[in-house]
Amino acid sequence: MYKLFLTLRYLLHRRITIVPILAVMLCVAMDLIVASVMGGFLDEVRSAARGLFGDVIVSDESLSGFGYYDTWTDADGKTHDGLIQYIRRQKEVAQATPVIETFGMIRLPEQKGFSKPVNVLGIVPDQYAQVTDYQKSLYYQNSPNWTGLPSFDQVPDPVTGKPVPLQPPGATTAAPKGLVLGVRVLWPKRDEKGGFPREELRPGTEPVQLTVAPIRASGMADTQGAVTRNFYLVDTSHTRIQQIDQMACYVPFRDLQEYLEMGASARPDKDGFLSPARATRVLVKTAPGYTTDQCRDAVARAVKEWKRDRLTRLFGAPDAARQKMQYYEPFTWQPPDYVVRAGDTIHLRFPGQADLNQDLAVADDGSIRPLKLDAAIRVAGLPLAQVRAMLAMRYEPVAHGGGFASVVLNPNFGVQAKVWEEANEKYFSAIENQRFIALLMVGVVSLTAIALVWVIFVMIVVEKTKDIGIVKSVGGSAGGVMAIFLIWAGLIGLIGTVLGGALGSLFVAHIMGIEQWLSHLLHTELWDPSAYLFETIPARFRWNEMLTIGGGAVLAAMLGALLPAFRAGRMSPVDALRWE
Amino acid sequence: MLVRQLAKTYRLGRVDVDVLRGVDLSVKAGEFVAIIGASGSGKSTLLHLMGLLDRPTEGSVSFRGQDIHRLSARRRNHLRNRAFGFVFQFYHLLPELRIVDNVLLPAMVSSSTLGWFSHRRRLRAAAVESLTLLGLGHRLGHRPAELSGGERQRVAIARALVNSPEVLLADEPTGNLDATSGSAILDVLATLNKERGQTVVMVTHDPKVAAYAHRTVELRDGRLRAATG
Repeated sequence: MYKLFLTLRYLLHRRITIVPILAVMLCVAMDLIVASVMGGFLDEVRSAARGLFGDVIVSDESLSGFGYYDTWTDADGKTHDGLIQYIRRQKEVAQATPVIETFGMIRLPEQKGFSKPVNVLGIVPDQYAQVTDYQKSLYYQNSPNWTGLPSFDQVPDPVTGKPVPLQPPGATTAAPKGLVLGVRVLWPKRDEKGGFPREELRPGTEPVQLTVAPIRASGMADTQGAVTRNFYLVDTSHTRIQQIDQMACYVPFRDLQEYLEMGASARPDKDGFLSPARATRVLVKTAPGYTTDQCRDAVARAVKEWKRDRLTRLFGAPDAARQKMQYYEPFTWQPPDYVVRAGDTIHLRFPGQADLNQDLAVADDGSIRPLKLDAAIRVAGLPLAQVRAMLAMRYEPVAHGGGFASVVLNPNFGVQAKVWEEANEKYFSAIENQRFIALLMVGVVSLTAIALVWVIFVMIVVEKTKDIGIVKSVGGSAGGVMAIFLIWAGLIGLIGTVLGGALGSLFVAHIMGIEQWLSHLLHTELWDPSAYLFETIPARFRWNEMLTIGGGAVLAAMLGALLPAFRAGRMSPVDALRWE
Repeated sequence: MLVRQLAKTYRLGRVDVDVLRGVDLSVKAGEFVAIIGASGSGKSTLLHLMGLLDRPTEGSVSFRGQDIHRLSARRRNHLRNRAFGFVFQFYHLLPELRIVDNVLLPAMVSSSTLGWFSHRRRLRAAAVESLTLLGLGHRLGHRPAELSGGERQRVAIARALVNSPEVLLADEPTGNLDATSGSAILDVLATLNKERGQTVVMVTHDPKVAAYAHRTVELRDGRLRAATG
């Protein structure tokens, strides 16, 4: 009992205690602010990424895209479900939409010299709005008067604000096309009022020229096939993420697919293959009541089912497919109509001719150099079956024993379903690392508080030597005396934590006000949104972080007092009483 | 209490100083013994060794038949808390505590937090009664700095007695007081011995102070002998 009693008395009556309390308070506040700002930054990025990409992203991580994403027609004219139909059948899925992403240039002919590179996204606007926060980022098509989902073919009526068909004045085409630009594509900086003059834009009147180049199956841009088309600006998008707002250009999905030659071929080629329409991604929204992980698993199941059904369709039955695939284990099978591209690895296997087995990487120029053949063979851009046929023909005289077996592709390549976090994992982990490093640095700075506590407690123990002798003379133990100083230090840490927590959370709550006040005071802009990802300083307070930092502060204060407390506990009573 | 061949050597720089050279002393329950000697003769050292505040170089101190310096640290702490009560020349009160809390300190040391809250009222009443008997009933909320020397020493006596120790060890209890206050303190010790049968071992350099005791021994050249004169 005496330990707590004496600790409280000392804490209340020794003014020197205020110094370590202030040190702990400042360290806790500093730690909390850094953790809150860095955590807030991460949360904002996560929330923005989720809003932009949907919950689950299905892609093959290429710009050339993947086929059979939507309903498709075979050579016999029969229609089959594509990946999106498989995905939409899952109860965990609310909506799925295809997206094509590429790069292009825009020009505003009525504003001389206005030409900019943009990140072009081909979207189906009504579906895209159901999967992402796209509509929330729009100005006119998100106004209260706008009824329904966003559209590229409609603009708000100047009087009622309700959607009316896009009819640009003096338009020469029968069906004018609309596009949406990121707000900072048009206005890189905010105006004096801190906003963008979005209301000055008259939707559907500003012509925009968009130039895009098709991406070939090899992954190379075909600059000679570049396409320039005219659009009309129907709205602007403001996601509040700098990098997106200054690069985004949304256009109708089908149009972009056509410009990039990613549409389905009308008739089979000379080898009898029909090229499927391609998309670079399918974005998925989770149905209410399910987690994104559940949704991702359901989408992964759908992807697997989709692959299996295509296999069955090509080989006749699952068993037959498995039988034919037997040799290819452990490689993942790719269908014969898969278009080979640079970066793929082709595995050649010859039963009974193991010396001919080889793994060939498709070079950047699209060629491979197989063993025992005279020249390189260009394979990129060709369907896998065609590549197989070519290789079989070349190897036939050589591999007459067991015959040529097959070609399979790099097992790591292909369509995969990822949760939005996994899809942006590198980016998030980089921010996590930055956050950790910042906290580590602040933690190192906080070591000064431990040193301060140590110095103060060395002084306190010297000053209280006689008290230590008195306590021991009435039966106080070494551990008891040590505990007095450790509890004292712990209480210093606790009080410092409470005060620092209050200070830090107040700072975090009013961070923008403080920034503005300091900017005004120093006549400089401390937070320049153009230099950062976000327009306001992202900060959020979390209790678990507060408790971790507070717990650390209490332990650190006790650690600082440990040696002096140990010394106090070991003092002989008579030496302590005699101390002058 | 039995002291046998007790020796204590201090090392001062490179020189060993033998303060006690084989002290023998027996103190019976209810006895009031005074140890006199010149300044620096080792009186306080002897008292500290008897009260477990210091460790001897040789010899033993037996209490209830046990060599108390061979006990564990925990048992020694317990004896300091329960069996011995100390009164020092310079009072040794904790300046941050009110006098009633100073008196209650040994009781707090022997109580767990839970035990303290269940016995707090009874212990506090006993401390108040003890202080009142010593004429300090009106000073309970004061701090030591607000009291005179005599009052502080009475607080120290009350603190020494709060756990009803079997032996009261007083080290020059009047050494820092004027004649009137010193006499009052000695009256208190004599009364405690007479009325409660409190065993008292008192160290003093003043034969007049020693006269309050039943028996006086003199410490000279590191050994005890019966007092002369």
